[in-house]
Amino acid sequence: MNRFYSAYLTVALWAVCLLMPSLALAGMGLAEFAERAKTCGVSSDAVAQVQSLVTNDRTTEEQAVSLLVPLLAACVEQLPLESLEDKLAEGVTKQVPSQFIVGALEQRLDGYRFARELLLTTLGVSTPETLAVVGEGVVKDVPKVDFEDYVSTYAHKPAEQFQVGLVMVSLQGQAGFAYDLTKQILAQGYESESLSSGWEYFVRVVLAARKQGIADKTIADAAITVLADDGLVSEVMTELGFTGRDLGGASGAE
Amino acid sequence: MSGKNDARLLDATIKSSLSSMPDETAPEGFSARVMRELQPKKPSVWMRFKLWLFGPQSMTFTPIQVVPVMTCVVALIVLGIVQMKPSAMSEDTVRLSSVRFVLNDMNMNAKTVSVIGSFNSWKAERSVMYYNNDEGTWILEATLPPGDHEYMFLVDGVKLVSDPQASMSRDDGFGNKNSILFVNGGHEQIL
Amino acid sequence: MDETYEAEIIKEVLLGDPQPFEALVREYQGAIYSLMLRNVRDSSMAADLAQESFTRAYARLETFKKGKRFFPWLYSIALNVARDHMRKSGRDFHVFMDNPTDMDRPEDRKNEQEAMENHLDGNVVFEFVQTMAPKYREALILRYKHDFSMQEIANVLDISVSGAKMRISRGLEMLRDQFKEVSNVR
Repeated sequence: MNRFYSAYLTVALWAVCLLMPSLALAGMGLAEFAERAKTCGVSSDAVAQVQSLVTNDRTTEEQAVSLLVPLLAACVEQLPLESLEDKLAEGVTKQVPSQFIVGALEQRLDGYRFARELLLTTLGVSTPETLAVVGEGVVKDVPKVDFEDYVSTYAHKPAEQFQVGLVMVSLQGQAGFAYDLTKQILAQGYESESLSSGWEYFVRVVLAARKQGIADKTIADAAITVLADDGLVSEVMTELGFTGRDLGGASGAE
Repeated sequence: MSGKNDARLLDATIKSSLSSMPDETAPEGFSARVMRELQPKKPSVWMRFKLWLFGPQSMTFTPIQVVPVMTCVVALIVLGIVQMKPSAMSEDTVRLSSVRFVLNDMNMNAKTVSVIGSFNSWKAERSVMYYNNDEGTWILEATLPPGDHEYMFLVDGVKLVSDPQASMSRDDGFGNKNSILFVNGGHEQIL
Repeated sequence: MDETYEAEIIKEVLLGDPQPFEALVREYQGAIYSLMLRNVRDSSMAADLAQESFTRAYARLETFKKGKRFFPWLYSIALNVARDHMRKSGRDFHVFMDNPTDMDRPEDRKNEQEAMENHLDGNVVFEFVQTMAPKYREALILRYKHDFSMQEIANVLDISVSGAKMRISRGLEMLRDQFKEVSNVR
């Protein structure tokens, strides 16, 4: 009996919790909500985009408000808005149904909340740069434990090198490069104090080398050899035997 | 001992040979050729002042002259700060990299193609590609800041196409795959 | 060239008279042209790139910091011109510059062979240096030919001071090895 009672109570509490915000929002029209969002600092472009969805009959007023909720939350919590506004714009251009956009926005909000909590509880400070790197990384599927491990291991390092390593964890994580390998590279970089800013985009070497069928482990070993020698990121390509043009100003497009 | 001396002698030979290594002679008339390309500079008031201020000067002042002179100097410094701001900013601005987006379409089946992405707020009208008849490709050249950029091609205003040549792609959470472009800051230097 | 004299020239140029700049061009044209020639191996292209280096330096003269030496500053600009050229011509500068085999043309190999057969004298160094990996070669040239300080080399090559020291000691080591090899052959 007790177990049933407890289950009902849990469900009821959850229902109240979930309904509360929507009940509160129900009384607020889109115009008023949009105004609040703008006053807080959500860009007028983003707000106009949401409003135009209603004008063009692509969504209801209620759904439009749901789109603004995560944006306003990010604004109130003083988290970076660009990432959410960017996802909103992407969804609108791609003509994605509103409820999916809301889901994507909430996921971003969660990513940034995690990032800030991690940084504040380990470093004691969350700069816009570190917050963006961790937040975007988590949003783009880098495992949270990777960031937790990196931050706790290297929290005491000089800010500049710490940031380079953090970017590497994020970008290499996004490319599915095993964190263990990234960690070995970073350990060498810190040991020989050779982790210069050029290493942030080591992921480009990874992608170029993978195209040639080179295994991640081999790429990591080459990076470690170069770092041990205070070398530059592009020297990894030489170490891997590249002679062609695989690393322009960018990789991905031509 | 003699080995050590030999090594020293060798190093001395190497270093002195390096120091006396001849330069190639630049082509005849090189300096004139350079000079023909140069336009006289038009120094700003600030630049003139700066050059004057840091150059060696010999002046005599009476106390009565110092007050107005100092007033002018302060005014010029303020003016200078106002003028310097843009140039200081341009020194610090992020280094942009040129990127070329290419989509093959041999028979020009598409009527219009745009690149939409995080770098243009996903606005198709901002990055419309042009068709290159010789290559049979849609092309867009853009300059982007360092970072990872997500993008897709928008064909005929409705069809979303991932870049087949991208080194990496990622689910966009909406059922498509965004292509990823990593642009570095151009800090990589080898020489 | 005397630094005070250079500073005076720069001042004149900044005040609107380009003519004194020609003295700077004359002074450093050989070094900059040689740098380009070491990298592109085509005299006409090397001259174009050297010209571009001076034009760029002229355009940016306002950013030249008083009290610094002009030549290291000019050299950095020239290196960037070379890098840009390699990128535009479809060869990644850093990959290209970093791979000695890319630089190794048949005619160079012939030179090397001839050098091996020559007497062991100072001129052989020049031949060896030409065939070295560019990152070591340029560091050695900056240090011993142009008398750059380690800090200046680090700035120009955009590496750390310890990195500059490492390149020079490695470069010297390579040259020593090649000398020894020649001695053995003889």
